[in-house]
Amino acid sequence: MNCEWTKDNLIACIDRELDPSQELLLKEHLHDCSACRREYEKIQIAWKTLDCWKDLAPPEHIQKNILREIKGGRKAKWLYRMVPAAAVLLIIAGIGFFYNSTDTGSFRQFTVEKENTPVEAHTDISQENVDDIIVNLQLLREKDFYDSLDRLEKIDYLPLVEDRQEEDKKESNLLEMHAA
Amino acid sequence: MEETDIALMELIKRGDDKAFELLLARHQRSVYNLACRFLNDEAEAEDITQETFIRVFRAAGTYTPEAKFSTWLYTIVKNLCFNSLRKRRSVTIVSTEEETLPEIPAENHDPSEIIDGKRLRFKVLNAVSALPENMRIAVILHKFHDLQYDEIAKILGCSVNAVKLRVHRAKALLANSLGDLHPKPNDA
Amino acid sequence: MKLLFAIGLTVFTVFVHAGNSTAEEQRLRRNKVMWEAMSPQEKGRIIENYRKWKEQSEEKRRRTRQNYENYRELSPEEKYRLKERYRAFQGLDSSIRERVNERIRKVDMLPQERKERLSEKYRRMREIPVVDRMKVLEQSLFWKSLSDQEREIFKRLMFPD
Repeated sequence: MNCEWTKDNLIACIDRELDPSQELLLKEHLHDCSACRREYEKIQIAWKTLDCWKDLAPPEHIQKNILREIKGGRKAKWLYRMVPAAAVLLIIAGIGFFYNSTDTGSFRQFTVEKENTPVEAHTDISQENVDDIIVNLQLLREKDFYDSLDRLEKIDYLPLVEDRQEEDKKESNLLEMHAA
Repeated sequence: MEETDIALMELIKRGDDKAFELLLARHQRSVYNLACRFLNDEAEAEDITQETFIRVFRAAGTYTPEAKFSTWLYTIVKNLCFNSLRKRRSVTIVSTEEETLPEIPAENHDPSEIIDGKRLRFKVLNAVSALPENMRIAVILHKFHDLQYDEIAKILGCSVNAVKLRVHRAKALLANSLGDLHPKPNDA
Repeated sequence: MKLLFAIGLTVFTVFVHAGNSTAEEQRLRRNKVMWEAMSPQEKGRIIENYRKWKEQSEEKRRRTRQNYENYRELSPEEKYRLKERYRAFQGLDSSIRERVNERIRKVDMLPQERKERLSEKYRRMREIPVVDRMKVLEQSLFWKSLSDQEREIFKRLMFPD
């Protein structure tokens, strides 16, 4: 039983894929060979270490998002079925909309239910602001982090900056001494 | 008696929303964690989890149970994860994918424990993320979802031997990056 | 003509509503759902952030937005490193945070061309393994000028992993 064969079959042994006789020979080799035994242990340690990577609980809003999306999809199906009847009503609404509206290009026109009326009574914020928040939601959720990000990145430069400044100071001192 | 996943899909086909909520509650965690571990990106994992279950719901009408429900479910997750990777590679300008933001953990642990645990977790994360994708997905499904090689083979669309080989090679690579981290265990 | 336009607009609206939306619309829709699902406390916090955001100068808002865009481009490992660094920085005493900020201001005061040379040097440093980078740091004048307490702090900030 040599080390090359042993190393090639360590994982098969750990996974119980070898014949009993092969497994026995391999384990006997491990008993005598510290290098192979170390390789065997490394494989076991590495696999066991993965256990520290615990599951995360999915955020609560995922479930709500999925259920809302599905209900929205159901509404979409309903709309497709009702298009012929709805189209007639909407033609009339569309003509009125065309003559009365001043801006027909914005997506928000079709999603905003009320214009500029307070919707968050306790925080006194208008629908327009809520729309702005929704557009920038990811940034606003961790605004402090993004505000400080460029500063945080500069920490890596500190040793390079300060060393350079010291070198410049030394150089200019040397030049002064030389001039004197 | 608890309904099986296939029975729940039958109910969903007939328009039972409660059955879908039950299925979602049952599998949400494992889908989320599969995507999280594979992509190492919680925000992307959220999107993939949502997309997976939306697809499950939409496919309920035509779903026929040829295999275990979980096999089908994980196949959807795997495909979405691989699509996400392809999109990542092809993006040279800012993409439209959005990300969730860092959370400060609770302050009720011994700080030194957190640092050691976090450092170890970081090394594990890095080691698994460094694996080639086909090996990574096989390892994650085998180690963290307790799937046997035959089921993994169905999910990945390859032979059982191919899965075995990928997991073996992954173990060897992981041994190189993680094998020296702890004191030696007792002999097997 | 106007009638035809109205019909076209209407049909277009119906089909837009029916779900053939662009990726940006999907993102907004998802954000809207996320916003509606939030607790009042979380909404209050975000509204407060929004107010602060609006009070900031145009330049500051542009920089924050740029930081956000740059962050999205980073690898997961880099993102994790910066998250940990932020956590460590926030955990510092305010007087120590100010001392760190003071040092960071030195980087801001450099001329542009020097900053670019530093970026190049920094990029090369990042290719070196962490253990070796730590050794280089310990040899630097910067490190030697720090007190023991400051060294602990900077070690946590620079090598959160």
